[in-house]
Amino acid sequence: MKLLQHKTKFWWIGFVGAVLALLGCAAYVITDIGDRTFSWAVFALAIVGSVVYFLSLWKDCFYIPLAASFLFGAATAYEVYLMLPTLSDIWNNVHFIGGNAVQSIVFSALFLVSTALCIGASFGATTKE
Amino acid sequence: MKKNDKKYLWRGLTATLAPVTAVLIVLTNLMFLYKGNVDLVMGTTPDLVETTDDTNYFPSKYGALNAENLEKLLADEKAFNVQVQEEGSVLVKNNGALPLKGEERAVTLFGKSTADPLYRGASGGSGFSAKRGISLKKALENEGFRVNETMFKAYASSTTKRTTAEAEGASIGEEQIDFYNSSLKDSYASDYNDVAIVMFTRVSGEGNDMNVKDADGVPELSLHQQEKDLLKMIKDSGKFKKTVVLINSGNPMDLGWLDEAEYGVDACLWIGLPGNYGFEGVANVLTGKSDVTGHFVDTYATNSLSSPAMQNFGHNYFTNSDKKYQREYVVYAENIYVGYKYYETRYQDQVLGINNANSSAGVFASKGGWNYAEEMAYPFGYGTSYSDFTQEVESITWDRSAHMLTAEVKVTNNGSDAYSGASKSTVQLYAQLPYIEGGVEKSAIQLVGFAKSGILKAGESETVKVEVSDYHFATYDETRTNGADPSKTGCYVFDEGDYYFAVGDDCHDALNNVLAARGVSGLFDEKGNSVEGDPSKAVKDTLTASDNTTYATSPYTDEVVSNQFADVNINYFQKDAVQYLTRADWNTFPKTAVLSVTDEMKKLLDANTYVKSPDAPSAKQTFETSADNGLSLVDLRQADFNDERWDLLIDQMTMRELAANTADQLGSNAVSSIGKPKMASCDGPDGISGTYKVGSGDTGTCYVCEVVLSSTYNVELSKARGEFMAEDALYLGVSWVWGPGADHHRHPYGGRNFEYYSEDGNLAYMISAPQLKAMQDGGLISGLKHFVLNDQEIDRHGISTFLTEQALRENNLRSFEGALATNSALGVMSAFNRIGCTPTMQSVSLLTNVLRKEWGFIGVCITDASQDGADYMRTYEGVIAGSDVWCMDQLRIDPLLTQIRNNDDGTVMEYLRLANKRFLYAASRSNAMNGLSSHTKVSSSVSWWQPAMIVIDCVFGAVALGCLVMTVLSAHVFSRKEG
Repeated sequence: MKLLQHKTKFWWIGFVGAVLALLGCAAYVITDIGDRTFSWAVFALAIVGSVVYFLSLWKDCFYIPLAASFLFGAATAYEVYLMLPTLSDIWNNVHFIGGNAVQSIVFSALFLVSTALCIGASFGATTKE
Repeated sequence: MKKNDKKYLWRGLTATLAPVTAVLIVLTNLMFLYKGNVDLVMGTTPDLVETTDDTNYFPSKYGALNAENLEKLLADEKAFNVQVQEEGSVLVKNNGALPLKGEERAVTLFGKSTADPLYRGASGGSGFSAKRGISLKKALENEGFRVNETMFKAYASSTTKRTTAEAEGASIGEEQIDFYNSSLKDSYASDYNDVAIVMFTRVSGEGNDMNVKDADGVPELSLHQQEKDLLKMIKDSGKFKKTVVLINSGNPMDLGWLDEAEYGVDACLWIGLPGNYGFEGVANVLTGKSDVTGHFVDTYATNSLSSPAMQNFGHNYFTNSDKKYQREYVVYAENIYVGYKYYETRYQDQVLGINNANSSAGVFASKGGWNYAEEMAYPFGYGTSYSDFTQEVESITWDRSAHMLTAEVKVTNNGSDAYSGASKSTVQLYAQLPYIEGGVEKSAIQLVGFAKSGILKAGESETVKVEVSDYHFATYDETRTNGADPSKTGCYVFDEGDYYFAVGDDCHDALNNVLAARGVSGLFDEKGNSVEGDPSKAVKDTLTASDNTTYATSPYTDEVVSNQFADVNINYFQKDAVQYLTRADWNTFPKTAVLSVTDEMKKLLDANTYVKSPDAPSAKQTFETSADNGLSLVDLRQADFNDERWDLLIDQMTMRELAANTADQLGSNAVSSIGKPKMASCDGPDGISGTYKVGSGDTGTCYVCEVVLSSTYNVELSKARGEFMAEDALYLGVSWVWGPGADHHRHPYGGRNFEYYSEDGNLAYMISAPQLKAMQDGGLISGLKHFVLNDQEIDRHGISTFLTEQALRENNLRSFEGALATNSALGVMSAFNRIGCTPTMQSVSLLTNVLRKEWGFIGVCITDASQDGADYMRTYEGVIAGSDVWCMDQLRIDPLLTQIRNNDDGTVMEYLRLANKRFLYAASRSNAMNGLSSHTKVSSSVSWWQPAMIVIDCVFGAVALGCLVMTVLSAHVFSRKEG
């Protein structure tokens, strides 16, 4: 585990965030019931965010946690964009827009946690100096 | 802090602010996209305008728009809704229990919904106002009832929930029998037992049809075990003198159980959904303060699954397509035989012993072969009153030269021992047309007109006149040569033979009267009791030669009316794919149709057919924009639709303004170049969304639901509803309401039957027109919806709908025709579904050939929320077909601009201008014109929160960028310096 030898707790915090985002994407592919609550843009942002973070296993780049938090944040924002009209149906007690509100909330929360973890990782050194 | 730590601090701050900025930008985008909704929430809808005597084009009948006058309006709306509830409720059963005697005022309310009534269906529009609304309990207490608080509180505090959900998730929310513990039973042992008032409720709504199998595993409209147990518990207790059941549902429940002795029901009153004030009317009916005079506008079969239409209800997917919005379909295999047209026609054949009427096909409640008496609970038009009325036909005349049918019926109130007040009686006029074996389908009986008497005291009489055009009983024959243009096929016809016109207490009674006049014996009523019918209530008229010319052209325009919808019949694509029901053989009772897609259908399903024609004119060279013609929209307030100034007005607009005008956002922005003010639009068949802009700022009135209105059979009340809604609109600052609904009650399980008029097209035609005319006269544009065939909510997005043209014209289109063809209304909303394989909003046959040409409609056509169906609701095809405005959809602006600017597409430009003309024409006839004169400068309509959101986004973005710069500097520049 030479790759992980020099990683700090901040790196691990971000790593958990990246893994969560990846799991979210996998869950989407497996369940695929997100009627109008998930788009390929969200999927791509989350995947790219995770991949970028995993690159830090090999390449120590100062901007990686920042980039990951931005990508996960954008994924969260986009998911919120998709979710709010669906939630408005629940608020108004109608089925006007449609969509799977539960799945939207789950994905939004998941990406929000990923974002928060990568933000946390950004506040400290990810590699022992 | 160490210097080195600072770079992490800056990185962390950047990492925090960047996602926050992203979320803010997305939120801003959403808010702009749904600007109308945000305006509603933020209270930034158009303010009430200042008017002068010269500019108050649509004045309130109550005078100036202020708090005092609003209170007067609301008081009148309350009285109106109470009256509608009294005249629209249907007394289904009464063994003398109602009206309640003066001393019967100690009651127990049973049923969870007595503590949580369903005031309105689950769709858009104004909600129940806790401030102004009246519950069942409150209404009863206001009438001096003492209500069992122990039982009421137990229901109120129970966590059992009534829910709507698709696919077996819905629960009626009724308590299980073990809920009624000994303390609850004790609560009515020695008091509160004059009457057990039981209320059963069913809820449906937008996106939520009723479930053929709900959370309890039974059809949602059937009597559930909890309800059976409750009724038995009440009866077995032996404590109550009377049991009265209230049916709180916009959908027809199975009611055959009302006569089953084990439940001990003494009386039953269908009340629909009472809105803010209806329960006061219910209380008035229970006490006898008012009579109840409503009649069913739907068939109440013994088993709600038994109609032919139900056999193709639910999810149906093409076997060879899995693409969402393209795979869904429904076949109207019932043909014209919707509701009573099926049950009554088959009844006639049962009596005559022909056409396999008594076969096992379609048996749901009969013990042997099909038997009307066992299949039917309460027929269409059924309803009793406290007063005893008699109706005598004085004359029924079909004037063929004037094309009018006139019935004069003497109505007499014979009084009643139990009820001394005055009352009204409804005259229902039906027709039986000559049916030729194997010829065009005809119902054995069909409603052609109705009228309600004035208020009659006991002993008083009135001759009620019913006058209708004979268009209402012409038959659309798809195979007949068009009499006006022999090169075309299809037209409305009158076949030669005997025509019978009859009045009756309901459709079944009328049919029996016709059969009696024909000398047919062996008649019986819906309970199976032998009856003779009354031949004096039926009149025969014989047509010696068939007529395929009178209605070969439109009765509204000179347009030839011929086949337009051949490809709406699935058999057009696949020969004999579906056997439609025919009365020639009842063994054709529908089965669930299993279909696949052909290549030809695939092309239509893609709906992406538009290609710019090589002959298309140049948009840039043909049309003028930003011209200085000095016109303002208000100048054309009274201009005819064909006035040349409309083109000059449109010439003043920029290309972007033209495109933006088609994009609704729960309203539309001001357009300064033509003096068009900001306008608000919103939902509301049963009451307009929003809050009153003066006074307490309460929500708009929630009306008694539409189906109760139609059950009044009172066109005056329909007109009054339109007038009140137009008044509401003035106080709410709304110019365009998406309602009423006019789709068909094709079957009992339709999720939005409560906000559609009826299962009968003629009834919907006649009851809707006065309401919509009154709305328009009051300056409120309607959005009569959902045009057309949105008769089920399941898969409503993109579902292909197949039926015969005869059924389409006589049933579904007829429901919309009354308001739209007479230009009573200047607004219509198309539907999410397809007509055949073509989305309704891009059907030229529907929106241009029928709506505009045959019916002469000159108003504006809005799509249903099209952003939601962008996958199949195409922009160019839509605008060319006659879709003028895109509901809650800003995403069509850029494609329209691109096509016109980049591709110089004059065809799209031409139709875009036409769409604007229709929209502006309707707008010019709306209350949005109030306060405007030729000299008024209309400024852009930006709400305060729009620049505020942009500023917030910019500030966060700038700070995030600053943090990023500091991150880079601290990581590279400062650290190097330090080094």
